[in-house]
Parts: sequence; structure tokens; C-alpha cells
Amino acid sequence: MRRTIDRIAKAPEPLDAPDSRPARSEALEAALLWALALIATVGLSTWLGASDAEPIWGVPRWAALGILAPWILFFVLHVRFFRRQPPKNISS
Amino acid sequence: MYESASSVQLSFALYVGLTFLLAHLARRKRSGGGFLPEFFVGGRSIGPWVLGLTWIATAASGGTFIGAPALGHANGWSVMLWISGYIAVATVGFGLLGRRIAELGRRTGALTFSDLLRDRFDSPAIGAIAGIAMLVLHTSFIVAQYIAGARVLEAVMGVPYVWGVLGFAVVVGLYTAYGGFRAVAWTDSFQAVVMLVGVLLTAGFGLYKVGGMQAVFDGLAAQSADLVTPTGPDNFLPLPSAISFFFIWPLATAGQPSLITRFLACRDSSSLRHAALLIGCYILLLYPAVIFVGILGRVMVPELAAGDHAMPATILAAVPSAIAGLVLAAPMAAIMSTISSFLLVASGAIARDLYQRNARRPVSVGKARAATHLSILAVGVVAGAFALRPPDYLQYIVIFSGTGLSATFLFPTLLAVYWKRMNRTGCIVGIVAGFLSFLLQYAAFGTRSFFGIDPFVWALAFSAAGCVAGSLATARDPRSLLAEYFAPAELEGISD
Repeated sequence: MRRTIDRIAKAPEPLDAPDSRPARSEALEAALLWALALIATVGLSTWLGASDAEPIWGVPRWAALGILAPWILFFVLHVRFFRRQPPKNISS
Repeated sequence: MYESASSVQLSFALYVGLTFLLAHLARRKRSGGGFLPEFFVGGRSIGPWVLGLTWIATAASGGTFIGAPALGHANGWSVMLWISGYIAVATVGFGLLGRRIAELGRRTGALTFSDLLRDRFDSPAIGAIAGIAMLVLHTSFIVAQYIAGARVLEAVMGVPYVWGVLGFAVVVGLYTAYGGFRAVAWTDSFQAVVMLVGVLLTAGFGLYKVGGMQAVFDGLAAQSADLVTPTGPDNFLPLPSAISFFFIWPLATAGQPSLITRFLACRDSSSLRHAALLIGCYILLLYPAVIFVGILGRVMVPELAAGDHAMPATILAAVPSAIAGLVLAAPMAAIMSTISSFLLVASGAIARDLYQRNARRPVSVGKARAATHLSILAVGVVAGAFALRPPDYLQYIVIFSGTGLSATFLFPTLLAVYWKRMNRTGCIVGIVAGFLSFLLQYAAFGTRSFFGIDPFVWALAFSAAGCVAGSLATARDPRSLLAEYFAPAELEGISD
């Protein structure tokens, strides 16, 4: 089997045994977070925007509560997601 | 032309000079691990700051800095809902594939995106298909960036459009060929900082000039009540389109080969996680501000010569002229960083995927270097030639090229790295189904396909179905091929 021509690109350090499961479960969690953000953002802003566009601090209410607030909340979830990943080193 | 003050020209010259200086410093920092690994993945030694900033600078293109503010100018606050999918871009972009691709890059020695697919299925045909698709679609994206850059130069300094295109082709082509991935990553990092500072300064100065957020709201509402609704004027963003764009931004970014390639270059998993944290913060600051600059522009400069002038016109109206030139470097930075990254991927498609990996004899370092530099020249010349006859609305080209790539490759890549039953037939069927269904829908329906949903979403579904159907209809891959990708426990019951 002809593999990559120049294996010199491989990291010099030994690698852990191959295992797709940890990365796969993280990928599923990321997809779930995305689905949650979709429902919250598009749902809220459409629902709030249907009634009125009165501003909160100069931002239309539907945008302030439906987009900017969820964005900040989602950023907190993003930080938690990437901070709690196991410190497994892919090059060790 | 809005302004031709020498301070603006001087600032541009300074910015370009600094970019070249960084490219030079990056070249001196080479790891010495061989020409191709250094040129295409920076010797796999990129740390968290540079990794994060090059990732986002590549993702933020001329569309972000020219097209999106133009839409904000035309459609008001509804564009904030249009862009809201960026909430999840960093999480999805790094979470779906980051760690897995970084691991596999080290395990297989992959240098390009096509290497990953080719090695996974031991299929030169898949490598060639992916390489050709990379070449065609990335070149069309570069065309859009040349157009955007030349328009900024035309609007701001009165540089004739043709000279603008040539200027971008030469400047970016030179530093990309000179320093390869490391130079591109370093200059991207500098450009990402310029982008963020430029946008925040414009938003801040503009807000001060107009008189605060409430004055912006009142100014917009006085022009049209539709400018402050979620759907915008002329039903710009109906619900199916809002849902579509929440798919498009995170998933099109996650499946973008030029961004996936960044994961091949990272130093370790800690760098990946820290880069993801950095990018989450960066996006939170940048994207709402970019759209807000377009909205501000509608209040400050209601009439524009062309929609794509919204960003430069707002900068010149809002920012004091003494620093306007530096701020105007922000859209230039977005454009240049995207061109350089795409140039690298497109040239890699020629030099690595189509030439080196199909050569009958091992290719010498000298030949590999010559092929790489010639490929950069060829892609730059072809893209420049196409850019000389530009279409009207830049953003739609960007969406087409960007989403087309991801519709074609996201599911074949995801399933290739996570699903052991996926085989080469499934991969080819998934690629073809994604690409063709995307093209045919655009040709038949434009940007609103079945039920008003964007063709990208359906193309993703067709691609995923193609991967699954093609794999299940044919024999599974032998254990020997899967052993480098999956744990022994995952391969129980699979024989050679």
C-alpha cells in the first residue's frame, strides 16, 4: 500500500493508540450546542420581532434579547466546553 | 473616490510593508523539517495564538468586511439575525473536526486536505477528485477576494480597478510563495488584529458622531420602519432563510478545507483548545460590530455609489482622517488573509495532490519547490483574469464558493474520520451528490430552494445520504486500512 510519500511530516513524538471515540463524542456535543443555539436565537428573535421593534438601549428588543443575549450566554457555554476537555496531548 | 489624502496612502504602504516584514521573519523561523511539510503545514508547530488568529482571519473574508456591511446598510438590523449563526462558528468549527484532524494529520503524515481523504481510503482517485475541486472552488473564491480588494482601493484612493486587482495578485502571491504556511499564518495573525481594531474603532467613532445607540435606532426607523425588523425591507430574511443561514455559517466554516488544513498545523491539543477559546471571544467582538458598522453607515452615509462601498464610506465618515488610513487596512487585511490561505490550498492541490502524489518517481525538493511556486503563479494569474470582469454583488459569490466547498466535503470528511463503515465508494458518491445537488439547485432556484431553504442545507443532506448509501451498498474496508484510524475495540468483527 502506497502511503504518504514523505513521512517526514509525521510528528517525531510517539502517538497514542488510534481511537475515534473521544473526538466523536465531543463532535456530537458541539453539534448539540449548535442545535440549541439555532432554536434559541432564531426562535426568540422571530417570536419577539413579530410583536414590536421597541429598542432596549437603542437595540431592537428582538435583537437584544433574541441574538445578543443568547450570543453572550452561548459564549459562556463555549468556554466551558473547551475548558473541560481532557488535557490529552495529541503529540505525546 | 471618497478620499485620496496622502495619509491614507502612507498608511496602506506601512501596512503592506509590515506584512512583508512578518513574512520575512516567518521564513527565517522555518523548522527545517523538509520543504513540503514546512511550506504547507508550518512544520506542525503552530501555537494557540497564531493558530486561532490565522483560522479566523481565513474565515473572515472580503465578504465579511465588504459584503456583510453592504447588506447591513441595505437591510438594517435584520442582518444581525442573518449573521447570528456565527454564535456557534467557533464551537462547531473546532469541536466537530479539530481534534480528530490534528490527530490523523500526525498519524498519517497528511499535508493537505486531499491527503486526508486519499490516505483514509487508499484511493488516488479520491485524492485527484478532491484536489481538482479544491483548485476550482478556491480559485473562484480568490476571484471574489480580488474583486473586493480592488473595489476598496478604487473607492478609497481612486486606484483604477485593473491596477487594484493586479496589486492584490502580486503582493499576496509574493509573500505566500516566499514564506509558505508559516508566513501566511503570521501575516494572518497581524491582519486579524488589524481587522478587530479597525472595526471596533469605526463602531466607536461612528457611535460618538451619531450621538449614541438610540440616535442610530431613531435614524434608521425614520428612514424605514422595516430597517429595525427581523425580516428587513422587502422581506429580505424570511424565516426559512434565517434558519438556512444558521446552518450555513457554522457548517460551511467547519467544512472549509482551508480551515481544516489549519488543524494539521497545530502544535498539540492544548493549542487547539486555547485557540478555540480565543476565537470564541474574537467572534463575539468582531461580527456584531461588523454588521453594526453597516447599520451605522445607513445613518451616516445613506446614499452610496455602490452597495459594496458601505464599509469604506462609513470608515471615512466616522473615523478622524489622521487614522482613517490605518482603519481602512481592516478590510484589506480580511481580503489579503483569505487570498493567501486559499492560494496556499489551491497551489497545494496542483503541486501536492495532482503532481507530487501521482508522480511515478519520488519528487526532489527542488522540483517540489518549483512546482509549488509555479502553482501559486498560475492560480494568481487565472483568478486575476476572471476578476477583471466582476459581477455586481460580491457577497453572493462568496456564499456560493464558500458554501459549495462545504456542501461537497463536510459529510464525506466527517464520516471518513468517525464512521468505520464509510468506504471509498461512499466518499465519492457523497462528494458528487453534494456538489451536483448544490449546483443544480442554485441553477434552478437561486438562493431559495425547496420550502425556501438555502440549497446548501439540502446539498448537505444529499451528500450525507450519498455517503451512507454508497458505503452500505458496497463492501466495507479491510481491517488493515482502518487500523490506523480506529481502536482495536472499534474494529472487532472486521477482518482483512
